[in-house]
Amino acid sequence: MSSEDSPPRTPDEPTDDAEAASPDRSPTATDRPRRTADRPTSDHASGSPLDRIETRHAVGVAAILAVAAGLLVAPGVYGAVTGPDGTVAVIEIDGTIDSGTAQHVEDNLRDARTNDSIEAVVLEVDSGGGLPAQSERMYAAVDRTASVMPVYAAVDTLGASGAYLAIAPADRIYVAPSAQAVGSVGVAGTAPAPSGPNAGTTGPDKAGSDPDTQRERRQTLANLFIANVIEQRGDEIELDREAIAHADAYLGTEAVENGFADRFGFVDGAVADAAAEAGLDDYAVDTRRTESPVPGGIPLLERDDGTVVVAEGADDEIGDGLILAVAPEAWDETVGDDVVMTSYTARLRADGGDADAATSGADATNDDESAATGDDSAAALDAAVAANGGDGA
Amino acid sequence: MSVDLRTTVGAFALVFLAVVGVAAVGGVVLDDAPPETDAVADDHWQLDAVEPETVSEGGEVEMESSEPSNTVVVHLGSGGAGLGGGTSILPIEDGDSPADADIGSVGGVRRGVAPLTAALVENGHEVRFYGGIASREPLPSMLSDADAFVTTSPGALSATDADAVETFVEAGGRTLVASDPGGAGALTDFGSPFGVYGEAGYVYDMENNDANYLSVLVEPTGPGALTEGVEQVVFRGAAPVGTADGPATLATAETSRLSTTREAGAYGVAVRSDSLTVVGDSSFLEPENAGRADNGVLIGNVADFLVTGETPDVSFGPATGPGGAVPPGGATPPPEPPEPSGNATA
Repeated sequence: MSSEDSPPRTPDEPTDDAEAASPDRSPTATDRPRRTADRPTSDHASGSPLDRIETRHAVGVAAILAVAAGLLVAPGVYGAVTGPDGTVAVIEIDGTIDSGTAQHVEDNLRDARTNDSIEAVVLEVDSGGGLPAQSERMYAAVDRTASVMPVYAAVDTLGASGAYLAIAPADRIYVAPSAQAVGSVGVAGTAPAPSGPNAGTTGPDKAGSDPDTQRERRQTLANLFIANVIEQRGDEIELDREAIAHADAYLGTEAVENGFADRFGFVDGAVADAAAEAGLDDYAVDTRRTESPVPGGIPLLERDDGTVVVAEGADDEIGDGLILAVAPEAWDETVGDDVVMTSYTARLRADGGDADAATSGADATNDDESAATGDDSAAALDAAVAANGGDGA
Repeated sequence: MSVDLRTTVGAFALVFLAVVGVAAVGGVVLDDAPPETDAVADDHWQLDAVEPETVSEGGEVEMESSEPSNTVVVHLGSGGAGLGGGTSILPIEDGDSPADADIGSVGGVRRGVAPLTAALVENGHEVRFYGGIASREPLPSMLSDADAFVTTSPGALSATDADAVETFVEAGGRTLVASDPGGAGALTDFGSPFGVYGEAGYVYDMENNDANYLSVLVEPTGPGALTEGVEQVVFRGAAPVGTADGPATLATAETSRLSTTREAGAYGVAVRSDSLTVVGDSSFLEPENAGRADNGVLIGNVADFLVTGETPDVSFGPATGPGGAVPPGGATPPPEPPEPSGNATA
């Protein structure tokens, strides 16, 4: 820069330069002759040609810089003019509901609330439920989000039990007409049973509370579930509380009729309607799927030596000592084969060694298998409360 | 040069501060915080809003009668063998999983009738368990010396044993059959000579129950020895039973429903036909349930029923003489009539 600056300044400030330079540069003998030799050149160049060249340069450089800057800014401007007005986030609720599912939904709904560009949410649901508390986490997140933007849910095959609890606060529930389980408002688990003396525990209830308490707590969980559904959809559902508590899982076409769902539809329709509800003429869709490490759902396990093998896939099953908000359609994949939802009246034994389900619902037995697996819970039983156990197969 | 530098730096600082200042002011002015979300309603989560209604703890097991020693044979079926029911299957008494309970276990199937058997023995009666065809003594032999018979698993009786019990009942032997849901066929097979039958399915009640739809509340249909002092009992799983002779002794509430038809109504769950009493549930005999509602009072009444009355005149082939066995204590003077019931527990 200084080399460019000095030539123009020299002709512009001949007097100053001479006055200022004389005391400063007097010691330098060679400087003055050189400057005086330069001056005629500068004076000569201070005419129009050099000026015009410099100006042209400056204009050219400025133009190039302007083009560059314009190219930088243009996409943003173009995007601002032609881009979407906002985003509809599609958040998946898939599979057995556990902490991972709840975190996925909570995180993405929180992002939807704090991200200015996301104006609406569609929940893409295919789950038969899981743990009640995790379902409640999603329930709360959906409820909170629905208070600031449209939240619609679209159910394909399963939107039952814990998954139905999660989407109950949605502004609108779409179901496929052939959805096979919508609703199932209830919980299930192993039958209440007394626990024997156990020297390994520090109190009689450490191995499991008494059967009456177990029964009451199970019913309390069911009542919470029912109360949540009535709180959110009491106006829409045309069944009374007792009918809801029967915990039936409805087909999509039935669910629209009885108010468990609002209308028939799929994700795309729900996205379009959610965008319209949010006032978006032009919108982008941001799909947030649950992370599926392996396509096709085959669980793989990486060994220490780097090889990958197919795992048994039992790791993600939920323990059978818990009371679950699970539809019978999803029971097996949730807890595996250890706990079988048995019909109250059809008590055929799976194999001779295991004890049968207790008809009373009050008592049942620790079978050998559960003892072998180290399940010291008194609830490690092979019976579960089920109104229609035949559906569980 | 120094003037230029100062100017330049000054200009830089000015422009810089201006840009940052505009950004700061603009941020403050233009920034909108994330929208205020509504709090999630939680009133309906309070415990008193969702706690289920339960029955109160009720009376104790007390026998009114002062009968001389009777012998009661109790049959429970082998663990889970009978499709027709039986008491709950619990870890066998000498279980082989000591790691879990190395100082005992819940107990075997016999614990399922412990309140009844304890009351009988406490009042001077003898209790003998019959464990099925593998037992040392066959059932006919045991019944020939017995005054009363109890089974919680009629479907687990062999044909020979069922015939023996039938003969015993016909001879006036007091018999209690507790037949859980699922045992309708076996119960009908056994009870039809006495006009007693079982119906398929189970009774449930979504409105009035003891914390579970299967735990139905049962009330007496009228006065009777079995239901004296009983206002309400809880059955954990009730099978409908009926008799040709009249109304049931105990029936469920009008809000209950039958699983097979879903029809609401009061279903009979206990009937009596002379010396035969059939209850469509065995859970009320279990120790955990004996204290619920008036279950204990009902157990006491059942115990009185078993030991009160004539000694049955029954014989089974060569085991005993045609005149029937004289049970221990059977030669005692005629028993005093039972005291009028004044069950304080109600």
